Amino acid sequence: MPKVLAPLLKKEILDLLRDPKILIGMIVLPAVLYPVMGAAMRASMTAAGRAALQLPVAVLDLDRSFESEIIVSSLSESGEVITLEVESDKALDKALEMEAGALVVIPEGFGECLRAGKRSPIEIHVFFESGGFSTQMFAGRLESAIESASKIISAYLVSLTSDIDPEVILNPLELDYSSVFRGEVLDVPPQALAGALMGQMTTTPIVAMLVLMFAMQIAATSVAVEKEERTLETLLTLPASRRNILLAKLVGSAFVASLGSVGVMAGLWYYLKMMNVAFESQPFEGLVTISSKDLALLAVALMAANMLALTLAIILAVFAENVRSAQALVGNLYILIFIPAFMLMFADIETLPVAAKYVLIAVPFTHLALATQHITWGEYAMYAVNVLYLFVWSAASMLLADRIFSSEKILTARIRWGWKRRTIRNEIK
Amino acid sequence: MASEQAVFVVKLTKSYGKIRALRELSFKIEKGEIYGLIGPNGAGKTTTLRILATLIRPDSGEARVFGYDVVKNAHRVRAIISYLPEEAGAYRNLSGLEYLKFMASFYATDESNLQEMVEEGISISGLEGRIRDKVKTYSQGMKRRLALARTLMVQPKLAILDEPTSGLDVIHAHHVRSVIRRYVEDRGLTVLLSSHNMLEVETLCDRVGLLHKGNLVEEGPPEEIKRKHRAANLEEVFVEVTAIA
Repeated sequence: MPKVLAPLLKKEILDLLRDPKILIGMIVLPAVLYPVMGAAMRASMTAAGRAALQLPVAVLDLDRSFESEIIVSSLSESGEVITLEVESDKALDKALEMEAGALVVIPEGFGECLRAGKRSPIEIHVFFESGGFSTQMFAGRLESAIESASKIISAYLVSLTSDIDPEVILNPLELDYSSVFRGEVLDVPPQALAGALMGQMTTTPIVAMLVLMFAMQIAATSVAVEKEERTLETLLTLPASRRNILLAKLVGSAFVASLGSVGVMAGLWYYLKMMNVAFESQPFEGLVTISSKDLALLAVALMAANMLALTLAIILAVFAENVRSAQALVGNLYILIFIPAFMLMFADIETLPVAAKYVLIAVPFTHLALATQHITWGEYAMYAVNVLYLFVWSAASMLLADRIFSSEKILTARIRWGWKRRTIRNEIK
Repeated sequence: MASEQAVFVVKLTKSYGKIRALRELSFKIEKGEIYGLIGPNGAGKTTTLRILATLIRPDSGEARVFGYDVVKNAHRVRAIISYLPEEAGAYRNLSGLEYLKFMASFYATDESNLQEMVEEGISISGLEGRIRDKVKTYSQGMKRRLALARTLMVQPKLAILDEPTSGLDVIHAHHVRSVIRRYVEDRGLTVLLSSHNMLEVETLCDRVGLLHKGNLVEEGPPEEIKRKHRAANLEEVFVEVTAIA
């Protein structure tokens, strides 16, 4: 490392990390925000689930048959049941008065109708009094209880007419699903694997987008703040090469941005964990779709994209007069990151119209999204092409940044936005 | 190649678009001299200082600092100069001490040399009691003293000072002028400064160059210029010359 690079780098990191806008806004806040959001979601969902369980179901059983009893007992197993003893036209008011979540009316002749081989009606009224997530969860609980009762009644009806085990008639196929992923047979249902892959293919681009956004904001700030605070002129007259100054800005920004990314990822991980706990989802054992080698490859692709994003942000910030305008300028680059990421999150690039496909391929950040897909499917040759493309763009943008830093443009260039075309103004003193 | 002539400027031109900031400007500064550039706003003072500080490049002409061409040998020039811009800031999230250490690290030969420079910087700035505080807590005057301290503490061969006492009160401006004078006398420092304060220029500078519209319209020791124009002070000369030009 050149002798002058160390103090430059130290200054960059200290100055950036001590900036409350960066330290709190980009590192501390995301790290705290997601866990707080996760905890809040968990608390609200747990409360909603508890409320859904506590909400009673009012039942008006006008049949009082063996079949209707199956429904009542199934509802009782899922929560509290209030048995109504009123006229059918007054049942709705009574159920509301008793603050039930729903009213189930089993008509007279229900059991007889079933035994005669006919479908029998049953009325279910769900009350949306306060709305919210608890009503949704209550409706789900009610539906499950009715489905369960329906299955028991089916089995009972089959047993009346046949010697065959009702379970066999209702479920004649013994399905043995497995999933073949990247040539390896996994003892995992395809739906579970598809869900995991979909989660990975949506979460990874989102995390990558966040990482790039942080890096760009920090890099742009590191240049613009030198202009805003009038430190740039002094810095450029120090006996340090402009290349070292640029390198220190890139490395310093990347370091601080990576701290921010760690904060975001840790926060996001905790948030997702909280959400999983709230939904009580049970992941399949051994459902790991990304290996440590793949993670390393992902890090390389992210690094290449990050270097490009940092350099582009620094180049744009050169044309800004202060931090605010630099961040606004850099915001224009987000479109190059967001559009490919969102498009490729749900669609295969080969299925897009030809023009859209080639436009997308030309955009360098598309190759980060493609690289993550190729890692997932084990297509490493294609991954290498994506990463190479990103590195070529990074190298080209670094050369451009180097030229700008070596010229007086770094001091004099400005972008003026107006109804006229963009002009670069040279300030005269 | 190193030279005993501190600054050598010949037919320097610089334009910003259609506006010509410098028109074949020529002047020289001898080693150990304090040379003052004066002139109205837009005369080309800051442009001249920025070219000599290697920040911007001339369109044509030649500019050398101790024999080194400011374009071809910019890196060598930067090693022997120290530039104080008119609106010099300092990193607001660093302490005054950290800022001085950061600056000294580019010039110091070893750790003890670095410590000497920093001690000197603290002494010049007069910020002993506040040197560990963050720069963002400093007043404008304190920041200016810190900036001047870092410019001089590294013991450059040529100090380029753009409005060195700008923003300072009378007492601190006097302190700064005496520090500059002491550095020139004790350490053989050469100073090129620009100023709007005619009294400052008159009392501090060995020679003065009066710039107007990118041209040097008058040059010489303050007393000689005043005699030539039969003026009581440089301000009268300034008004007379710029009105004629």
